[in-house]
Amino acid sequence: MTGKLRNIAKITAVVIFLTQLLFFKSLFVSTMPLHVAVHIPLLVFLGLILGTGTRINTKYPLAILIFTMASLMAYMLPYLTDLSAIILSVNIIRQFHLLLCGILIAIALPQAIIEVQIAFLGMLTSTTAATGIAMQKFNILLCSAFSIPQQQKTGTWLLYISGILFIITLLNIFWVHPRRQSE
Amino acid sequence: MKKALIPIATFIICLVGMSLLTHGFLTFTIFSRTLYNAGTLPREMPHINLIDQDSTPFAVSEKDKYVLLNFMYINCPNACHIVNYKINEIYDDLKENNTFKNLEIVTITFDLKNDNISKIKNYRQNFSPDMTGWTFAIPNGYTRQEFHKILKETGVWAHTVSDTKIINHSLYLFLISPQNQIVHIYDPARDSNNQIINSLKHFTHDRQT
Repeated sequence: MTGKLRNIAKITAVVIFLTQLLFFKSLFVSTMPLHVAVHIPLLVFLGLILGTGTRINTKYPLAILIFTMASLMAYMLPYLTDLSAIILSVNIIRQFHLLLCGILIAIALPQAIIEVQIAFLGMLTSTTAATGIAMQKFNILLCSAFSIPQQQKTGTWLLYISGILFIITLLNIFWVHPRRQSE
Repeated sequence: MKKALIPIATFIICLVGMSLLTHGFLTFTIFSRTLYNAGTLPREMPHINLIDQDSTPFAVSEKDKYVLLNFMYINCPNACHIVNYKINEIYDDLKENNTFKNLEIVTITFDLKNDNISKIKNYRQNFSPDMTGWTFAIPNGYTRQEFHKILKETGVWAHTVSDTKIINHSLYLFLISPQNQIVHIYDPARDSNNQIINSLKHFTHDRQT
């Protein structure tokens, strides 16, 4: 991506983030699929755009990836999903935290060795899939802010997302990484 | 060495953080967390002033017998009714075995706005023909905030969804001893009828002997 295009993408990401920050209360809290399966990936994706091309060298990409992995897992917990849907301040912290996670992934992932990249993306894929299966199969309400049909729909959407993550993992191993090495 | 130390330290910090967030990987939902925060068993049951289906005021603490307590509301789309029919099966089984000398079932409604005495009286008629051991009640003289505080102290989470006005809540059944102590909590979504019946028989039998 050229510098100019990258800057346009970053400005767009900031605009989208600020816009959704204004409307998230009505839009992203209305249903569980939007709150979990759309809002979380959107925020991480915006963070990825903002972090791409950032010239920050880190000595500890593994530590950063562990932190982001733990953060993403925490926001998948029904407790935090519920709390962020009910309490406004938790939701705002969640949004900035997830944006930061995206930025950190964009900085740390390219600097990590391929084994760590595979482990990170593989774990993210499997965690998303496991959460998806659990939500789809559970007939017990996990989040008081939503309903069981919404929970099951979220599970299905998370399974689709895990499929996308799996493809990204494969692309990273067989296309991005060899290309970077040849450069 | 230092290069490995930072990721290991990060991992441990994240693990500790996650453990704190979930009370040692025990509470993953707001329901289980509220129950955990209420304290370990046995613990005192908070005092609740109630009015039963016949307009008689009472409190659970005044009953000199075991009380199996659950919460529900009449407009609930399904979960409350499923649990109440499960309790009905348990009630019928226990009634056959004459356990109700030492046990009473009390079902309290959450919905202070919509449920009233006549509604709970009509609703009660959906269950066993002989309901002498099963009382339905509404909280007496509480504001919504005050009642929610009592619910939290009991270990029950209730949240009203703003769009649909559905009250999503914990479905636990609380067994309260004659000394007004919560001695056991049943999860109707996980515990089978037989498990609950055997446990109730065990507690009430201890009282008889």
